[in-house]
Amino acid sequence: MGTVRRDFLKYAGGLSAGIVFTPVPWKVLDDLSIWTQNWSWIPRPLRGEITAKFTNCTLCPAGCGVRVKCIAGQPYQLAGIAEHPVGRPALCPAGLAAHQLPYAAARVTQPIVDGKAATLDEALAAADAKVRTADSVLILDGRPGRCASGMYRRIAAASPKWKVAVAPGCRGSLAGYATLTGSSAGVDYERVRTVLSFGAPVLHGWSTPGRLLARRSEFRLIQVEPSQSRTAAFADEWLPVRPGSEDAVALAIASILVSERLVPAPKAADWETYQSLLARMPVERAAGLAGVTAERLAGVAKRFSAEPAVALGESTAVAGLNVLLGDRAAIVPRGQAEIAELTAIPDGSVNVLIADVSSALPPAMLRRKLAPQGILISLTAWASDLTDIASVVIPVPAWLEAQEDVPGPVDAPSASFSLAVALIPSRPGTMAPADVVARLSGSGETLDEAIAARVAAIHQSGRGSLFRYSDGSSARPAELKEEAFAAALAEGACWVDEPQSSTAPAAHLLGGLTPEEFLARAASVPNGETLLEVSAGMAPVPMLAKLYQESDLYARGDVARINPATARGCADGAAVVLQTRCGTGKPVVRLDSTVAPGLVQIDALPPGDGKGTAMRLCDDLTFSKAELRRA
Amino acid sequence: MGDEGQSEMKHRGAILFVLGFATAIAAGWAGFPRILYRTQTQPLQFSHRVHAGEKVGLGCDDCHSVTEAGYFTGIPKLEKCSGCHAEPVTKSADEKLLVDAYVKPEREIPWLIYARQPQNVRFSHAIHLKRAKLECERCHGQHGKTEKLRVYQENRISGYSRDIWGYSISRISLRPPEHPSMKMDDCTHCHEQRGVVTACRACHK
Repeated sequence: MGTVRRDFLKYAGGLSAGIVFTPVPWKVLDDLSIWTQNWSWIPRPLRGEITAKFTNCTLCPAGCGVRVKCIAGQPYQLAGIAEHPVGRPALCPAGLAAHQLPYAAARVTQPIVDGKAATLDEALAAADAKVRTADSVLILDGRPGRCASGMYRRIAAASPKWKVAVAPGCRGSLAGYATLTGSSAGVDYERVRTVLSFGAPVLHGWSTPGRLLARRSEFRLIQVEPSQSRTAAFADEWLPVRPGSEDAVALAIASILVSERLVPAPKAADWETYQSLLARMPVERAAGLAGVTAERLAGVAKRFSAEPAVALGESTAVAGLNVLLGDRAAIVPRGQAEIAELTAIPDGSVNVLIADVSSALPPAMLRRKLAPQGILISLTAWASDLTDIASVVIPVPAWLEAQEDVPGPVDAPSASFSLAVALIPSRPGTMAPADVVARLSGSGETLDEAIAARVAAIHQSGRGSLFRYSDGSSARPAELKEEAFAAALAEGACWVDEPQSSTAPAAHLLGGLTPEEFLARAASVPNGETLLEVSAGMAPVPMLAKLYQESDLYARGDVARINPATARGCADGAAVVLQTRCGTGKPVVRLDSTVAPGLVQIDALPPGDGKGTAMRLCDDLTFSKAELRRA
Repeated sequence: MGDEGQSEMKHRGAILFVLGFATAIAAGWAGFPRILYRTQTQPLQFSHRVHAGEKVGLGCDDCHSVTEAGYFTGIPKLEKCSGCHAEPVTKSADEKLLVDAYVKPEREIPWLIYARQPQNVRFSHAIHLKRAKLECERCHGQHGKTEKLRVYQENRISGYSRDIWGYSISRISLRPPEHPSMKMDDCTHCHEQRGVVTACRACHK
């Protein structure tokens, strides 16, 4: 019998069965996976000497210390510093991947003048021409407390034409306390037993993560927030309230504290006026506005007043709770605060607004301040809606590209000072924002000079201690020569001041408002309306894909998250039209039961190019009235 | 076809199946490694036994040391060799090659590195030697006692040395220090045994 097709099939079957019992399939699979890592077009880390350098993060006001591992001088891994005296050994996910940010898609690399690409000199000349002819120039400081902020204040003090204001939302969740007392403050986590947070992202983005997590089991967290944010989800108690009713809730809690004599009379000049105001916001009324029961508010008030506590929230109504607690408030005053906010600048009064701001802000907020022919100059490393409306855009160095100072963390009990060290070359065509402003104002001061002067002043004061990350040693400034002190700071060391007196400062409980204004603000709770809320969203951190769904990293249109109960027939994934008084957007709906009914949540910074419709549609950083309909 | 013919067909099919099975087993276990790895010889021979033995008396860390700053020097640079071998000190052909082809023209020796890891990994010799107190042999086997440098076997697909996978193609009989291997599994296994962190970012760039 000759060979037939069946013989080949039998033999091939034997081969196939046999091959499974050899290393061939598994080894080839393994090798192929490694082979795909070595394709020539895949960028690979350099080979070279491994070194560890130290710096401090400027991405948010927490100012964490960072150990930077470099290969051949190129940073490739970031980590927190175990011995850091302020931040403790932790970095947030954005901080862990921050060495990728200078190369992110949203990076601004090109100066722009009137919508056209320009050179740095052309952009500076155009900005100079606008400033020269302006009657009023406003510098919007996005990160107060820096040496650059001091330069801005000196420029404003030298000429009535120049003014400075702090950008909204950048003073942290004790901003209201600063307004009431004139003093900035930190949280005494070593003492606090109850944290009453009014929407503050305590567990997902507000404070120094290591310091907070080290004490997390020691305090009770009560989150008052309309939606179940990540902090609300992990809080010990979540009090879901109607959007915009937080001030009413704060007044109701204050009312219970006062009426049941749970707190002593505070040192406040307007204490009697405040008491009469509380009488006009009975607990039952506040509970009705917030959509919770009066009994639940009473329970929160009692837990809040029982042990050392702190209330976190930007409004003065929330800050008033800390004042009422007096010495029982787990707050450490840190001295004079910068409180000139953008809201204090009259609308339509600014000819040139120079925005030294890296975070996203609604363009409408800035436009309101501009005179009819007023223009915006944006100094930023990141594309946002502000760069779209700016007449002049001047790119600034990103973190790791240039030396700048890091003010103390917003929640730290003591002042501190450290430097973000330049570890990679800055891009051509970029300039430090403080140097741009100094050049436009003709002040003649440079950022490096301002930093050097601050370092010298700290050294001369002899206060506090300098902590060196490289060897974990501490020294008082007096033990070091000024050059050695400056050199240590230039290598990433951190100076921490001595603890301040914890005596509660005198306060004005109404923060300069009339009782009618204060009450109207607390009682203006939208009822039954659709509200747009801009959430912080996620920063475009490309290399932390394992922490997110990969699809979230691709550039796409905006996603509007709404509660299924108020979806009004919109299916998940449906295109909708979202209209506010600022404009119209066309997001896609994502049904999400963690979002409060009636709210439409859109991320401020969607992934990709960093631009979304959220900021263009809202006119404030709180809630904006909106109309949602099917497209 | 009669019953006899059908039975013969059945047996013939079984034999062919077994033959195919056996061919695959033989090719997979014996032939595949020979095809997968291409061999290369080192640019010149070097005897660890002579250098680290009584004759010369060097220690491992005389050439492969961790600097004061904590960085591993790796394979020594030419200057280390030329310190003793500016001129041949023996009649060895390899030493003559070293002096003539590398020391005198001051050309670095293009050693083929058995233990080179992929570029997405960083490995600190300092931490493993000083903190974990591991012996060199734990990962490199008895390399320091060899008379001659082994033939370098390069994986044709991945491009890395066979030392990474280990010399047993099945990886079943790999036991350090006699038969070490340096795959990620080996690293994580050792880390798990010692309770050391196994997070991705601990080792990957």
